[in-house]
Amino acid sequence: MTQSEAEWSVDRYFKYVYDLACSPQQEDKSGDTALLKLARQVSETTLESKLLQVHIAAAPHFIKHWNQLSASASSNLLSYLLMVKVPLPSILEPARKMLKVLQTQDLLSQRADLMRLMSMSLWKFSQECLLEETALMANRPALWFDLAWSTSPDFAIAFLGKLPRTPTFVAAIASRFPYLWKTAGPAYVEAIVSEYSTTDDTVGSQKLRNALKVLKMPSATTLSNRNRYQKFIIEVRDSLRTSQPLVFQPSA
Amino acid sequence: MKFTESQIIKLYKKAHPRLASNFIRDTFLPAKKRKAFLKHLGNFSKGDMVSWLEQFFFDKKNQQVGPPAKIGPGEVLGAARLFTAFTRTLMAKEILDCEPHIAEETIRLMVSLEEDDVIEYIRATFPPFSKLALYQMWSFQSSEGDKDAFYALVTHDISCRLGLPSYGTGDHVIFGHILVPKLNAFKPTCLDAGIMPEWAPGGRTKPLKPCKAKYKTGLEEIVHNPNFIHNVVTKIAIV
Repeated sequence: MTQSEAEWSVDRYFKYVYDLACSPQQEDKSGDTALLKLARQVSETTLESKLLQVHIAAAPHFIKHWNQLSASASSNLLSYLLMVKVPLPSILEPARKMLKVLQTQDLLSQRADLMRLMSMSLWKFSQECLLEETALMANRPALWFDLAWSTSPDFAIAFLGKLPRTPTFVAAIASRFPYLWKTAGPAYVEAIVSEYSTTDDTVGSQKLRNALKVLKMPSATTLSNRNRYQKFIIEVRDSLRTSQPLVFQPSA
Repeated sequence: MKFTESQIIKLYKKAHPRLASNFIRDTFLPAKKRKAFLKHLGNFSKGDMVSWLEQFFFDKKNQQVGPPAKIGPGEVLGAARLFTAFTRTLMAKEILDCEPHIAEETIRLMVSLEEDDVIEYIRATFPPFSKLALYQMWSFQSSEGDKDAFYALVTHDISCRLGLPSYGTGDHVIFGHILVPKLNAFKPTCLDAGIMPEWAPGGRTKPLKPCKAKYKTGLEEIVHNPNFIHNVVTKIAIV
């Protein structure tokens, strides 16, 4: 992207990102794409920058056109917006309206993507609303589980038995173990494993037990310390850029 | 109006000198593809030439057309991908349907594990056909006398050594993997590299300026279809 900050306008930015999302995503040697590059450029700007202001102003326009996107374009645009981040207040009203439109048009993939975006922008869906999403429970169980988890871990666990127990869903749940462990504690992860142990799904149950076993390994339990260390490294790097003094206090 | 080949090359040189130079110097590009590319370029009339070129580069028929790569049985190849690209691909909607921050936690857990535990975690967690890249994948062979470039996974400047355009802009995930047959492994041509500005022909990586003095020769480059997570055989590191 060669445009300078001053050359961006809301219309121009909207069109550029929209067109990129609708195109095939060509990756270079390290997996970089034009959308990823732009996302990094926007993420690295300061609050005062024109590019970031243009991004925030353009966010509702993306939502208003969501039902015109194909499933893959919707997925590309979602990835982009999640990388750059969108403040919830700027998209909430258009997103609520668009969800209703998407329901009437039977565009499940696009609706699921928009719900993911709202959830990542810190919107919490009510339990009633989620229970009405039966198509989502059947077709995108991992997403439904994430939305339910962000509402309440107890609610998510209570309805785990209603979600289809396909090998892909078992893998999806196992991949979330580090996150679930970190946000709600080991008891919830163990509850999921025992929920599966009571069913006939021996392969799924074994997979989850193995994933839990790795999580309990000594090298894995240092994860939080390592994360703290990595955060410290990033802070040092940033402080060198801004020349601010920095004090690192390891937790007890 | 019909252009001659030399007129087309002249036009290409004028519009995109670096890409044209790569095209001229690329000895791995088969004559048939060279001709087809010039024919495509000769039909360009006006508009955005990059988009016009991309039409040709993105066509699967024009990728992985160089000479077959020589890979020993069981040879471990190195791969480096941007952290964001790696998490996005591996935890894709179609398979694990994961939010980026959950995917990030998973990858960071894998990074914190010992080598055997990583492999066990991969076996326990991911479906066997989870792809490591979306479309095409680039891998690297360790050079002679430096066989553990990817095994030890401690070389902090590996992304500089590999000449990755994203060096210095973000974390890279590096790992070693074994190619299974049918992944169509070839030496890269300028058509695989597309409009990537840092790539240069010759089949070896070109270390970037900050580490050029340290690494005289690059590593052998290979392009292939995306490999699968179950073929990762080393620890995963973030550099």
